[in-house]
Amino acid sequence: MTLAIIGAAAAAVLSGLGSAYGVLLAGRAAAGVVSEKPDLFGRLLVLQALPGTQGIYGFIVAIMVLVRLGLLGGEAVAITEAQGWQFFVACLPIVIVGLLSAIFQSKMSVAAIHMTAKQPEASGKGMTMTVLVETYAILALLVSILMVLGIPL
Amino acid sequence: MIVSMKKAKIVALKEEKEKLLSELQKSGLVMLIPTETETVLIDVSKNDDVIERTKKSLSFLEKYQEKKDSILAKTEVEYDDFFTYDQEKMDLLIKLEELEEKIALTHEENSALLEELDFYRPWLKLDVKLKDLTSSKYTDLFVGYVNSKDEEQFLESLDALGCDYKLYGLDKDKRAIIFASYYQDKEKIDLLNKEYQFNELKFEDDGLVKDIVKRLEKQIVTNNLYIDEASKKLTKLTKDKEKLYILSDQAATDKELKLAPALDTLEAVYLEGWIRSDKEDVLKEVLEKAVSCYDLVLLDPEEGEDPPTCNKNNKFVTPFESVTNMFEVPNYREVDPNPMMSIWFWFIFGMMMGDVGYGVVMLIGGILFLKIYKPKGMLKQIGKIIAYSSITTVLFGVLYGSYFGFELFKPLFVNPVEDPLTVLIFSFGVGLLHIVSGLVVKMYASFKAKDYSGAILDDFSWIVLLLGLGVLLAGILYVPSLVKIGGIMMAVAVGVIILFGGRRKKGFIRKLTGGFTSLYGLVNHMSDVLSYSRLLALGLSTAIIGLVMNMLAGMVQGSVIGIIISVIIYIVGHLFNIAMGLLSAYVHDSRLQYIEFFGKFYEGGGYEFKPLSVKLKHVDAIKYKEEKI
Repeated sequence: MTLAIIGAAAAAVLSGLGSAYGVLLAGRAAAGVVSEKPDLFGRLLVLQALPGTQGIYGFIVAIMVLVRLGLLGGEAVAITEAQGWQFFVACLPIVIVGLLSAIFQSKMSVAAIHMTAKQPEASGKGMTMTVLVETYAILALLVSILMVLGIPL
Repeated sequence: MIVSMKKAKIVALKEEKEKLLSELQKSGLVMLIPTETETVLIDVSKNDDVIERTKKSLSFLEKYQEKKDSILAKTEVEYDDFFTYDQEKMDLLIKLEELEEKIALTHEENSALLEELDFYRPWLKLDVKLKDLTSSKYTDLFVGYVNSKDEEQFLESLDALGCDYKLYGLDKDKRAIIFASYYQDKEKIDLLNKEYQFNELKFEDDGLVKDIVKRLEKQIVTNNLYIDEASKKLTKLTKDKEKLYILSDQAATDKELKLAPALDTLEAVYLEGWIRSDKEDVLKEVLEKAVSCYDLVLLDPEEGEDPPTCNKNNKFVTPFESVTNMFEVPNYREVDPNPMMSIWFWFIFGMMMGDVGYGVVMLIGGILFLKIYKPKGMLKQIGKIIAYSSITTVLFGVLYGSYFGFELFKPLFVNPVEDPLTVLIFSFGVGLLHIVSGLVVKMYASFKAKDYSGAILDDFSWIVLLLGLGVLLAGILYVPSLVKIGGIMMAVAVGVIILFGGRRKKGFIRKLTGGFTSLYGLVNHMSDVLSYSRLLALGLSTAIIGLVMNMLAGMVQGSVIGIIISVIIYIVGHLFNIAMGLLSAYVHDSRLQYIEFFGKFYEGGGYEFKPLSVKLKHVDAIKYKEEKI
């Protein structure tokens, strides 16, 4: 049980931290640009928000683990140590990829913000490039979800 | 559909140049082509100056407006009012600027006065005229401050020297003090002053401190009265704000006109520009009215020329053009990707949101946003996309059985949280069809370019191959009888691709290997299809956050306060989820279009058709006297 909860907590905490740091990094760059060009605020806000999704993915996996363990309302399910390990490992993809990809994505996001500062019409291209990084976080999320849902109890 | 363009060459008399250009600008028909000859630098600093100044004055004026403009407010101006340049609006601007400066100066003066007042306040009880504070033959007189913590010791020292002193008020932590000493003690006193950091003071003014303070206070009151009066004047002037709006937009419009590229000869003026081929007659009418004589030649675009792209689509497709244009504007000669793209964007958007309640919120929110906020440009299109996509969102909500995260009715299709695998396979299916539709557009383009062999041997055989793969997998998973059909489709397609894939390469060996290497494209297509797993992932994330919000709200229910809190959680939680969902749906939907779909056929590299037109930023609309052309 403890192991499974550690996994859930790690999913929420680490990918949340990664996202927080990513949004911070992108936000700092965006704030600098907005001070010169306030009109770009809307476009930049989108770019800043992009590294924020990993935190949500981690949160989702954490909640799914808690739901499966019956910790959110209802009776808690008794699980064996082996099952605990299974939940722990199932959380790992989003823990690791969520944390790192949020940080990597924010670096791309900063570059896209700089690009938008110079060429506001290119923000769509910048957005696409930034989203490419997120693909892998989505794949990790998917794998984590499928594993969490697939563990037999 | 991409509208066909014609190149218009217009020659008119030079003396009518301004009239011609201004009429063309009002009609908004022609996108002028910059002349190749060296352009003289045109001075538009006056226009920029006016634009900048009105912007400053407007933001200044905002502070004095009594009530805010309602969001419904719309500035509509009369035609004549917009196109007559009178001094009145400029005078208003100058008047505003003068008032602004005077108010600023008065504020500055007041703060200086207040500082002076602070300076005199400790000395208020001094009943000697300031100029009379002088040393006499046998005594030295000192006026100044000493730190209040040293006060006692300082006074003791003064007592010891037999000085006479008088204490006054405090200025922060300093005591105002006047003392007189015997002139022979000067050296000792100097030492003492140094030790206690006595801060000696010289008054500049004369008269009693009381009177000075009174004078200063009176001046401040007068200044405040002036500021009040000026503020009232400004508040009155806010009603004339519209004039500033017009002035600013006039300056911008005039700037555009001045920058319009035109070639002057001795007697004539020559313009070259693109117009929509369906607007030829309108252009002729405009020219007829604008100038007494002109010459107009219309030509079809030649090879190597690069006309602008003007999309003309129905009401549904138009907002989605903004998605394409954010990536790249289609070039003039290619097939317009928007009709096909719009349907997919709309469909996929709904799939990612997938909740009946959210769809309803999107519809209401989108319509309110469009009606009340009246956005222009990009935002308007996004508002429309959200409103349109509410339909597919509701549709998928019903299929997934999700109503604000609750399962009110049994899902028509499947609940993605309970059975994600089915939805994953469905997502791949959607992806496969999306990619195939991209290839269909490519095939259509090949036909249009009269590349028949390419259309059939390359594009069509790939379509068959991918569809065959889909059928085969569907057969393996669900209906065994389909396996054979899929297998045959794939085999035929693979055969064609291997046989003809290398036909454009030179040399026998290259032709042979070319077929196999082009078959390698299958790997790319497959990885593209896998990318559609995000349809499941994002749909799941919206669904699960919705569930969590409902669960949180359910936990606190139980008492009256609990129910109130739970309502707040419902509202805030679901709004948050909708906002995040919209952001990721928009972003990831765009990405699927750009990379997976456009990658199959799209060229891009065009530029938008932006005709010479009236520049409106503050003014929302001009009332035209006659029917707008």
